[in-house]
Amino acid sequence: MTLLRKTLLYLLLVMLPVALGGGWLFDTLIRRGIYYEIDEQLSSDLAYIQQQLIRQQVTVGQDHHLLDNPHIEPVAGPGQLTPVYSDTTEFDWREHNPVPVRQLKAILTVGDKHYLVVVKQAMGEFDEIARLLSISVVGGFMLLLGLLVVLNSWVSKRLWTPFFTLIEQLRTFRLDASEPVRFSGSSIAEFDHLSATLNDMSQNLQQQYQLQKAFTEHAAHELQTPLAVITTQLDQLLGTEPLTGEQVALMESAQHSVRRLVHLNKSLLLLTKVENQQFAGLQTVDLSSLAAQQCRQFALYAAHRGLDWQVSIAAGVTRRLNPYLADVMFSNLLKNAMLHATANTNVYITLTASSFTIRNTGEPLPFPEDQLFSRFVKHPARPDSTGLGLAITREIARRYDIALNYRYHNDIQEHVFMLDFQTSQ
Amino acid sequence: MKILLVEDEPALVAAISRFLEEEHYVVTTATTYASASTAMHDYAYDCIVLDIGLPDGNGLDLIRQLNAGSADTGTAGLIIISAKDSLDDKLLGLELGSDDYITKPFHLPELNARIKSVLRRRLFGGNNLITFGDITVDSLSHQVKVRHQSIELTEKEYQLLVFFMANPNRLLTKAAIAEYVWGDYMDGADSHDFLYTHIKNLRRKLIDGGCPDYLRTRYGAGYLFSKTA
Repeated sequence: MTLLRKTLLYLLLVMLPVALGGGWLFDTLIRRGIYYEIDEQLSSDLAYIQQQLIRQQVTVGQDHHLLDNPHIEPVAGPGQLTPVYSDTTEFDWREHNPVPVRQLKAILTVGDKHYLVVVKQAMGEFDEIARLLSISVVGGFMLLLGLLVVLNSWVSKRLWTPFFTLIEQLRTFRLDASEPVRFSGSSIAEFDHLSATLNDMSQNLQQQYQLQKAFTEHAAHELQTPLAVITTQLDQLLGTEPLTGEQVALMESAQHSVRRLVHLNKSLLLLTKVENQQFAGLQTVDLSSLAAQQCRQFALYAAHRGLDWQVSIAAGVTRRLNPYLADVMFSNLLKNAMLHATANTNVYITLTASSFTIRNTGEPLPFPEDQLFSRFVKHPARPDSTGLGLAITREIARRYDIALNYRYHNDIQEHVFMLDFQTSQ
Repeated sequence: MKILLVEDEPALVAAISRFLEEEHYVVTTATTYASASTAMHDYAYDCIVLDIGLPDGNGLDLIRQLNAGSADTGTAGLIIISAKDSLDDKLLGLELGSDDYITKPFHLPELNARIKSVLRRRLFGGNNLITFGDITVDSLSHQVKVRHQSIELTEKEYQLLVFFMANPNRLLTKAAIAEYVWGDYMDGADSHDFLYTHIKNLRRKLIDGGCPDYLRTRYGAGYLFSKTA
């Protein structure tokens, strides 16, 4: 529920008891006010009657008005009756129903005569006035509140616009975007503050990210130099005489390890660069000739391992990729098949307009299938590999929205790797 | 033959220049952009080996300077060394007129083979023949002759032979050979066994062609290409 709706809901929830309670309170107050005024009127009527009785201007016992008002009746003694206000009803002949009446009963003494005087005031109209007033006040209140709600929602929508703009910008924020997002300012101080804070934060993040990227790249490059020194110095050492077979074997082994390190370093650097999208330069790559060329490249080694390269390449398959990455993506898959295929079996390499598939025979994976494309996951029988080849391939495929699928057919012990181009472009 | 070596890493400078001097080159070294720039203007070299990642400037600018500058250095061969295995750098370098591009780390025999190849192309324009004992190789047509008799080699065998002939009497390890012949392609592959097959085939073809066996294994882990046993 949006903040706006929630606010409106709470407003409505609060409004109801306030309207009901307020209506009741108002009604009570009006009634009290009316009673007070009526009672004052009745008592002044009584005083007027007393004056008239003194001046002997009223005839006792005669109905002067409708409802027998005022009612004056001589009584024997002064009695103990103090003026009493009370509510009663009387039958209204005109309206043919009983109407509420307020009356004041008192015993007046004029000279030596005593009179019981009752003055009345019909209340029906006043009750109606009170009710009408209460209802209209409550109604007005509701109407005002409704108007307020409408106004509030309109104003809020306007006020929160910069906020939603910021959220939209945040949603599209990407750390690895080439152009940093500039969060737009606002005339509202709070949102302007928020946007400035976001700008600071994104700038900071971007800087950190750039540093991180630069660090990885620099680290890899910095490593290359000492590795180059080791390589050349080992070469130099090999040039000295005399050497023993053991020394040469150790140097050869050291060279081999350095080579592994170099390869690892290069692969990590490549992976980082792919992740950082440092390979722009989309070109239309002829996958058919690329695949054919790579199959040739590996054919000798495959033959050496007794693998029968069964190549089927459709002509004229093209995709827009970075040519270098396309090369890496294909060659890593081929290398993988070449290294892991059981000796003296067939390897099927198929390129169609929609996919590139490599099938090779081999033992089931020695690790869970979902780790196949993870970094540094190696076949225990091949500790020498970097464990990065397939990870790089997947990363490249992901960059170009190409699906990289893997299946294993248990019955025929066959690994199937497929690059599915249909998801892209 | 005069070579200018521009490289900022002292240990590499020492190893490379020592190696090249053993190959009877006259080596001048420069470790900064400024000193390299001066050295380039002062003398004419047959080949310049240039690390483009210098602390005080971009080596690619040195090439631009070289192209724009004196005619003395105009004929010099140029080999770029880079720590970056970057295609863009490589293309740019070759575009600017470098003859070859080699990525760190590299083996000294490989640098040696490349320098020889560049010098051959640059200095002995008409003569592409490399001779070692009874073997003659035409580096343009890739034709190999043993005692004037052509023998057929595969591309890899040819590369192996050229590498051996560029580094005679030098102990070459399988690692160095494999890297020269296959580069990055065979990384991670168990290529030594494969290499052995190729070397065995090459040797067989040479001997079958009537060539003395110049190739011998040394200390179990290396090869030596030599006329003397």
